[in-house]
Formats: sequence, structure tokens, C-alpha cells
Amino acid sequence: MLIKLIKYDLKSFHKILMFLYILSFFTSLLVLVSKNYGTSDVSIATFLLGTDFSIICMMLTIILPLINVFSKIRSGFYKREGYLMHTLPVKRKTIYDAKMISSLFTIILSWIVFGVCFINVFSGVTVFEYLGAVIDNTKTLRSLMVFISQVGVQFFSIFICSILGMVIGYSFDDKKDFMTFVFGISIYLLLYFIVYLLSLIFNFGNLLILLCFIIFSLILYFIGRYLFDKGVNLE
Amino acid sequence: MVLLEYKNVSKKFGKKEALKDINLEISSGKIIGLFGKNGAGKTTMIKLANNLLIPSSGQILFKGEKLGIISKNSISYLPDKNYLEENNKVYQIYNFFADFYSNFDIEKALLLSKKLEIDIDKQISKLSKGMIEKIRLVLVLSRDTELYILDEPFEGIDPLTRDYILDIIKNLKKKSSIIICTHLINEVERILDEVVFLDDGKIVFKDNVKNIKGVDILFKEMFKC
Repeated sequence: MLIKLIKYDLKSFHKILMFLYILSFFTSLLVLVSKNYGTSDVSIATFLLGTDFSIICMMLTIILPLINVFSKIRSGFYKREGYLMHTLPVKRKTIYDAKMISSLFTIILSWIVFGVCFINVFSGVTVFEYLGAVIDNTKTLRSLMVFISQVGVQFFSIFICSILGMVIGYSFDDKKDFMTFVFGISIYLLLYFIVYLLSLIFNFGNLLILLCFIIFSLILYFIGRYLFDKGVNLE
Repeated sequence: MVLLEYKNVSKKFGKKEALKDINLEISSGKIIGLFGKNGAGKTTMIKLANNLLIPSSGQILFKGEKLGIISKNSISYLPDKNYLEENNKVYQIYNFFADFYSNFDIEKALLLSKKLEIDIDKQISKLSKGMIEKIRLVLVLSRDTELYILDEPFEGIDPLTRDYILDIIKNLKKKSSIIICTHLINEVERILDEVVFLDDGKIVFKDNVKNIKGVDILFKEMFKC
């Protein structure tokens, strides 16, 4: 049932997003080609216009999946789509897991598309050439990996805190969205404070700090899952 | 045999008490009409039976058990909200139901669709409100369950289709129970076995239809403005 739900969610997430990804990729490819091989006025114009358009597409590639994911989770958990989800013969925990896994997959995919487009537009070489160069240079590879892990882990923590905030916020009878916001922010600040405190006391390095964030985020994930399983109040 | 049981159920939304100490038993093989004015608590009662709300106090049992996967599999519910994904085509939704509900009869759904002139290749966003309502009814009625709960099932549906659906519902009674919540009392009256009137979160009247002259007339008399 979990796999079926994930499949359903992914299909519904990517029905529109896939067009955006394809558009982003091809515009960035156009920029890359006109940058490298074009010398005529037409190629320069294509390059300039293409770059602007491509940047807009890239921005949308990051922003739209995020909006889509949060609105789908809210709808599936507590609003219109919830009437379908919560009456399916599956445990609430399974609904929770499916939505979280499909959402994280959707966001990671959007980042990959963004990354590929970014390299196409700004590096002047293809993704493969770029990655080849990075792998050859150990220092650059290390910096890139650290950067990606830090951004990834921070996003994961924020995402988990937001969803837990939503689960707690929607258990209230009134001002649910406001409560979601308040609890989401408060939980993240608390998490940040605890990890910061631990890193000060035990003199943690970067890797241990990241590990702390992951462990605490996973704990918060299971707290959210448990609370969600206890019951919901659909609007 | 008692299918659904409300035991001292109350539900509060903030300071407002939507349901007050409800006690009700729904037996098998019955068609029950759940009626009341707007805001009487009908939808809240139905949502509680489908585990879509947490009761403030009391409990709801399905065949003596707490609500859970068994009750979800045994209750076919038509909510008053449209939950269908706009981008999907009708047949995709039928496939989705067949995937998740072991008791969903896709052949029956296709047959009903044909009778109700539903184009299964059309996208939901391109269909009229009435047509969407028909699809939602097909989804609910094509499941073979012990209890059907229909919240406002005839919104936007023409009178001829309504009659056809009512006949289908009447036939379901042989094996199942049906709870219908609607404002079109006059229309559904002919198939009902029992009625429950709700007012201000309380059950104010419950009886067998045989003992009442006319449900619609009685409702108007009781709730005259």
C-alpha cells in the first residue's frame, strides 16, 4: 500500500512539474549551445534572451515544487484530498510516510534539475564535463560535497519541523494555519538551539553537527507520525 | 445486528458544541435518513463515523470494534466535498479505486457510467458539477460494503438520475445499511426505513418511517421558522 500511495503522489506531483523541468532543461541547453558555438548576432541575442528565460525557469524549478509539496501535504492530511486519503483502507502512518517520501523525492529531483540547468547556463561546459572536472579536483569535490550536505540537511530539518508544526497546528480547533506557523518556527528554533548547545559543550565538528541535525530531525519525524496516527480533524 | 454505534458522543469546535451526547445505533439492512437544518451537526456526525474527526468525548464503534482499517474497508462514504483530482481522467480514478479497495467492482462502475452517460475518457476538470457528482456516486455505489454513508448525494443531479440512483440504493438494502443525509427529504422519503432528526447537535426525533404520516411534512412542522 505504501508503494501504491507513493506512486499516486509522485504521479500527481509531476503531472505539471515535469513540463517545467523539461522546459528548464532545454532552455538551459539552448543557452549553453549559443554560448559555446554561436558567433552571429542571432546567437548572441538567443543567448541573452535564453539566459533570462532560463533563470526564470530555474527559479520556478525550485519554488513551484516547494509550494506544490506543502499544499499537497496540507490537502492530503487535513483538507479536500484528505477525504480520499483517510478513507482508504490504509493506516494513517502509511499515509504520513507516503506523503513525506514522495515530497522529499520531488524536492530532491527539483534540486537536481536546478543544478543541471545552473551548470548549463553559468559554467559554459556540459554537466558531464563539469562533473568530470570536479571529480578530478579533490579540494573542489570536497567543498561541493560539504556544501550539498549542509544545504540538504538544513532543508530536511526545516521540512520535518514544518510538517510537525502542521500536525500540531491542525490539532487546534481554531487558527490552524497560524498555529502551524508558530509551532513550525518554534520547533526549528528549539532544534537549532539544542544542536548549537551540544556542539558548544562537546566541541563538535561540522560532520557531527550535521549528524545531530539528522538524528533530531528523525526523532521529530517519528513524533509527527505518532501524533498524526492518533487522529485528525479534517476541515 | 448493530453496525454502527455512537456512544455518548460529543464534539466541540472551540467553544461551539457541534454534537451533544449522541447515542445512536445503526442496524444492518436499513436505510436511515439523517435530517436537520443547516449546522445541526449532520456532517459532523458522518465525519466522526468515518474517523475524519476526533470526538471530544464518547466513542464510535463499527461492529463493536474501534474505527480503523476494517471500518474503512466496510464503509463506503460519499463526502459533501469533491476530493477528485482535477487532472485525472475518469477511468484513472476508477483504476485508483480498484487498486486500493478490494471490494470495488470496476465492471459495475463501468456499467453504471454507461447508464449515467459518463465519458470515462474525460478529464475531471472538463466535466460539469452534476457529472462530477455522478462519478462520485458511481465510485461509492460500486463498492460492495456493509454500510454506505451518503452526505448530500444529489447536489446538482437531475431528477431522472436521482430516481435511478434511489432505485440502486434501495437494492443495496438487501445486504447493507445506508445512511442518507440530504435536504431533499421529499425525494428520498420513499426508500427510507428510519429517520433521525438532528437539531443543535442533539437527536430530537428518531422513529420508523411506518409510524410517520410523511417525513417531509413532519420535518417542516418540527423545524418551522
